[in-house]
Amino acid sequence: MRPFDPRLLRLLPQCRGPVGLLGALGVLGGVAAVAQAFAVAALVVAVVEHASPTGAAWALVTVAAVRAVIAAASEIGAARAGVTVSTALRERLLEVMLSRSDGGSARDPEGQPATPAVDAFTVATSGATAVEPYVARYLPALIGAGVLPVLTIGTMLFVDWPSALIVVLTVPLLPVFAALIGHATADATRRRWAALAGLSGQFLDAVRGLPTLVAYGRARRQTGQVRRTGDRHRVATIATLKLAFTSSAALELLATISVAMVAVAVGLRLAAGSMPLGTGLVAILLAPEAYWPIRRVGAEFHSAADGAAAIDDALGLLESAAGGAPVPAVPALGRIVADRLRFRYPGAPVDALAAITFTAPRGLTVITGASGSGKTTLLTILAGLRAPTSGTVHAPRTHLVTQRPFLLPGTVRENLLIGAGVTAGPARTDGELADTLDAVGLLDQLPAGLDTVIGDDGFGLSAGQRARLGMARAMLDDAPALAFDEPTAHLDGRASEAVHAVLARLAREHIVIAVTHRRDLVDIADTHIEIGPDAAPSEIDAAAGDLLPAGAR
Amino acid sequence: MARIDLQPPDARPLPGPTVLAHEKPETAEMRGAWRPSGGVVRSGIVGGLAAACGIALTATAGWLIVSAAARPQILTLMVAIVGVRAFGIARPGLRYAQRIASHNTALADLTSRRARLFAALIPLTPARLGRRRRSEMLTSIVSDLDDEVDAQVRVTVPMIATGVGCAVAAGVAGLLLPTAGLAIAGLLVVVAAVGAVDWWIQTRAQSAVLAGRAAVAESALLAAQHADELRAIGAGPAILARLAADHRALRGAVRRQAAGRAIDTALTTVAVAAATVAVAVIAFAAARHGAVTAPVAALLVVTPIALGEVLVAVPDAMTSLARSTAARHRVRRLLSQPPAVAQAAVPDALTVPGPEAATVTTPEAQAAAAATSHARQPAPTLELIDLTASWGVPDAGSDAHPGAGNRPDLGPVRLRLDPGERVMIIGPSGCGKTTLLSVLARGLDPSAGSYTIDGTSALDLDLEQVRAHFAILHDEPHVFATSLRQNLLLARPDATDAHLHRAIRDAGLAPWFAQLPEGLDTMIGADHRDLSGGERARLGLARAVLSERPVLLLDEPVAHLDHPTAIAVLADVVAACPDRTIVMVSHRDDAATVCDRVIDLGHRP
Repeated sequence: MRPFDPRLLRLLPQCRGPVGLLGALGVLGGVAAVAQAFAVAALVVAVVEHASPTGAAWALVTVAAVRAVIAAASEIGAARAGVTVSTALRERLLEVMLSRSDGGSARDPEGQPATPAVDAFTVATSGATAVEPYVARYLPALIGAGVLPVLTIGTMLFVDWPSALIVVLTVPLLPVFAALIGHATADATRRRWAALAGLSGQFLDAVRGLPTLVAYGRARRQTGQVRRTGDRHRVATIATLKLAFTSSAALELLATISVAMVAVAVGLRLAAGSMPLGTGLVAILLAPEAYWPIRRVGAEFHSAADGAAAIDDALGLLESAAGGAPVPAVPALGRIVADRLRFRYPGAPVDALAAITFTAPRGLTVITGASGSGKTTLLTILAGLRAPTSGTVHAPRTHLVTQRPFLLPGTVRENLLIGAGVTAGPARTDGELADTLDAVGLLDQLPAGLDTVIGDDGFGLSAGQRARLGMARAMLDDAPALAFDEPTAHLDGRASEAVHAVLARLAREHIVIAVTHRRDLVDIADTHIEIGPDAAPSEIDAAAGDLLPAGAR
Repeated sequence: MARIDLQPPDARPLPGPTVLAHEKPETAEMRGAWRPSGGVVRSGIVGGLAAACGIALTATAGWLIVSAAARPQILTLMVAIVGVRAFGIARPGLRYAQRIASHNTALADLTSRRARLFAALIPLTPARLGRRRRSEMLTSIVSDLDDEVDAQVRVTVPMIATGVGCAVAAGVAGLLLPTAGLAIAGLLVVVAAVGAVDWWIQTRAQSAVLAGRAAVAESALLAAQHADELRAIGAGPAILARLAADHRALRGAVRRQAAGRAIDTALTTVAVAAATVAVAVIAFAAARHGAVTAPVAALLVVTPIALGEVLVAVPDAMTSLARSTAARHRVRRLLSQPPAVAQAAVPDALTVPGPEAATVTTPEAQAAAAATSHARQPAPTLELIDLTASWGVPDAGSDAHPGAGNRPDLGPVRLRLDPGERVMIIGPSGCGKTTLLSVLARGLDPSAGSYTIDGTSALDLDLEQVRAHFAILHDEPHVFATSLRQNLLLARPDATDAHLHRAIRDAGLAPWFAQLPEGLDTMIGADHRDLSGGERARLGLARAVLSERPVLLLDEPVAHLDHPTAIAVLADVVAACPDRTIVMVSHRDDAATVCDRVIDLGHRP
């Protein structure tokens, strides 16, 4: 794991301030710690030599007050930096996921998770939180380890160079020993952590499965298993901890011996009368400051490892997103033009969408075709959710109503208002919203009207109601093009007619594209495109005869 | 020789705020940071000796240096030199012993608490776990228990250790110079008070931080899970704005919580300096009058500084305490609910023991008995007469949910299900469709009316035996982190591979199964192959079909499937269960094609 990744500051500029402040406070804190050693030494000397301790006392109180302010600022600064970095990381990642057209969400249309190199999904949801302890605890420890030993040794060089020499020679032993111990136990530690993760996961798995276990009368059978797993978990954990604690005890002992060497040298010179008491005290009070920050880094290492890994993954994702070619600005055509458009899922043997060429002007364009011929895929390309494998498409901003339109847990009103044109455009009145719901025949079915609460994933609405709510939302959007995937799949005959009428009305002012199986919708379409299951697209001019010949653009 | 360490990595704060004493006596179940076990106290005392060694190391080193400066006979220094060596070597050893002992005790406690939590959750499952997002709720209760037990290692042991170490230091200082001992004791009182303030601030901020994290997690999950759908409707900016608002709230709450730590750290630093100055003034006067020697005066002056190095860890302990206190309240709130179903006292000696009787003794026999006694039996006749049911906890909603009990979640409903009937339940949201299934499966007691099974009141029958009639597919079927085979076998332990293959096919999982690398032995669930929502639902359906339980209760079994697949799966399930009663909740008109009867719960009689 890299101690600190400078890409963080480059890709997330809002983190520069908090992280920089953290570093500055670390340096100031180090200076104050050195100053305190001098103040304490002066105080002891005054008391011992029966001189007035007033001056040293004031010095100590002043230094302590400064240290208190620095310490308080560091606590708040560390927490702030941690939460700033984690939230900035999450916001940027989701921004990228919500803007990329190459399947950034890593889900293919059947809802199957694809297997990208790094899962943006996991990093954005849980990974970003793991970053907080890394920034709030590990980073300050790291800064301390970089600043304090250097300051201490530098000061000691001026005060008492033999002590500085001892520290210079022994401080490097700490990281070397830590690395040696780490290297010798790396395999055992890794094996044990993996075993631990598995064992602790078992309890969570059993608890999460309780409703299923209870339903099949298998829950009590698991209680003994929980106890047995717990005992194995305890034994395995203690074995792991023994390794970790032994190494930290060894490092503590090493630091003790090193400081003792400084103390022996000082003591001998004091006893020989070749050194003033104050100098000796300063050397002895300063010496430990060179060692403990290094041990603290080791202690914070484990809690920070997850966060460091998450940062690495996230920055990789952000960097590749930033490196990708920007999406060229779409010329504002009054129609959708597709030229030899083809799509194939990575690794799939056949095209999901065979080369297709067509133009959809303002009006109602209906797409039909057998199951699996790529109708839904075509709509996702038109809406900019996917980049075609080959061919070009020119389309204005297209609002796509999928078969199961996305619904937010919340009120119907909130759900109507999350579309792009609605958030950006003028505020809509409740009257407008209600009229729109009425137009799709939904208003009467909602017990509390616009305030009707929808549960997770549209819980409480039927599939047909859901489809019509999606349609109402599309009507409120000011996108020039509207696309509908099977708008009437879940509706009975009468409701379908109403929806068809709405589509026809929308088609007077918009480019409307609908995928459907219904003959009666095909009958009222201005343009009809049939996608064949074979590679050759077949296009049938249904109504207006404004079909564009292949390739003529 | 000198002091060694400024800030030990493991927290060793003061025995904290006096608030501790106000806690009411609690049962063993609830002992956490407040009522430590013997093992925890012993670990704390060992840790206290380690802390005392650290303080003694610094103090003795101060004595030694000042003595050396007076250029005495080397022999007079020997005692102190031996002492410094002993303290320097003993401290890492004692600390190691303390850490191993405290972790061992805490983990043993965690194991037994987990087993008790698991057993305590069984009677609350499923009705008292919330109506939706049960698995999230269960995940958080597991981490709450971890946090609660963690307090022993992060709060109790360090507090005892610090208390012991500081008391020893104050005592020794008091022996050398009583007024200096008093000054050090005064420092400890001030630090305890500051710690209490810290704890109070952090506890108050804790709920805001938790709420903030939950809101952020929800928004992030929503955005990440539905990125394509959000982009389809251009809702990216709206959802990002929502996330940004959640983030702002979280940042504010985290800052407020950090303020507690900041105040604590700052005031402790000042208090330590003030105590050092006070001791210096006292020692100065005493040394001038010859009450103490110069080396002892030096020892006394550096003692508060050494204490300060032990006390810097108070804020960490207060953070852990705030977290574990909140966690403990959540665990207690959940477990204090009464079970949602009453267990009938069944006099019949042949019946299966109820939950009180069977702890871990005969679970296999019980499961086997339940599985064989009712599976593959003819379906019973079920009858509900004027039945109502509510999810609210009786007596608990008096002030929290005024009027919650007024309107039942279901009914009154009158329904008769003959053996082998296929019934579809429809109706608007909130009319009680899921509630009906829960009452039928004995997951929830009716609040009024009667429920009979073959003419006998269901409440008078043995709970486990009644439940063994029903295979219920709820909205979150769990996939255990094990093989597909084990995931299915839990529904019917004696099933052969042929049975499993058939159930997989009937549930519409055949195409998915065909691409599994190791067939039935493929590992699925957490850490393994993930299943989509639709696949999970069909796995649950396969379990239900496999169980051969005579009544299938299916809650939205095909909600995740596209229309033609949904019809095909339902037809296969119905064909695979020729004599069984099937009750299906659905929004889909399509399901009606495989059902004999449609009941609209929205039209109440």
